[in-house]
Amino acid sequence: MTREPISKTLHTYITDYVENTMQQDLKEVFEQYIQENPDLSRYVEQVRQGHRSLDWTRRVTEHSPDSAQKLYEMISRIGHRSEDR
Amino acid sequence: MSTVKKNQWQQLSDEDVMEQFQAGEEMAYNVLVQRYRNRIYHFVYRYTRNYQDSEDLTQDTLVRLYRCRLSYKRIARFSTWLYTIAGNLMKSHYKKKQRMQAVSIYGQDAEGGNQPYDPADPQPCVDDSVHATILLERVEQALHEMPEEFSSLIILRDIQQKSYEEVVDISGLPMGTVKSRINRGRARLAGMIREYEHV
Repeated sequence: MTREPISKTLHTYITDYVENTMQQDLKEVFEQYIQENPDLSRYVEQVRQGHRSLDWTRRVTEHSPDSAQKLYEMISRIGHRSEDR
Repeated sequence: MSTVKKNQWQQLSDEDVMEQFQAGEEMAYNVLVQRYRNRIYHFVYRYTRNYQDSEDLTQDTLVRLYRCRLSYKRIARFSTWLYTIAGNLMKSHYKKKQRMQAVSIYGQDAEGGNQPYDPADPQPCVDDSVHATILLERVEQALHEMPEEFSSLIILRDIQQKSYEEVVDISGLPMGTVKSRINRGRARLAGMIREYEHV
């Protein structure tokens, strides 16, 4: 797995960048910073892909009661697992 | 003229045979049918416990394979794709059966008894529906296998669309930790999905 960036500030930038909530001027600087750091670039791309898959899952479940039910059951199981700890 | 010699078919993977089929090689379809007819039949029979329905659903799956060949994309294993088609056909078959039984309760279908198999709808292939089903299952599986400290946060944020402030309130974690775990969870998820998809 790609080495993870360390700082939480950097994670905040990545979140804003991936969710497209970053200010344009900051985005340009951040993009340049990403390009200069191949490890970071790969990591951000993975985060972006994961975000896209989840966004897609959410949209599918909105239009499919069967899928929504299945996902809801899984979320409930994860909740129980959390409570068991 | 076929580019694959007769004795070479057995050496090709399912995905390679499917590629030949998509390129117009009809012999490839026969190879896939030979490889999967019995497997699909047994898969379907485990659920239907009915010989005739199983035979019909197997036949229908193989017809779908033929008709929908161009909708297969090599992001999923061929077997996963075909079993998903069979599974979807089983689901619609049961829904139709349930509807027919519901109608007969009210006497509109006096015949009752064993309803004949109703062939799957003749609509054209919906390109991404099967892949969508596969990807959805993979996302669910990846979320389930992921440590809860990641999955619970990305479900809140990405599936339930809570704001970061709400996620912080619910989880009781600092904002930086929430964002860090959500990013790491998303990256893990992408990696896990790619592992499943690797053919």
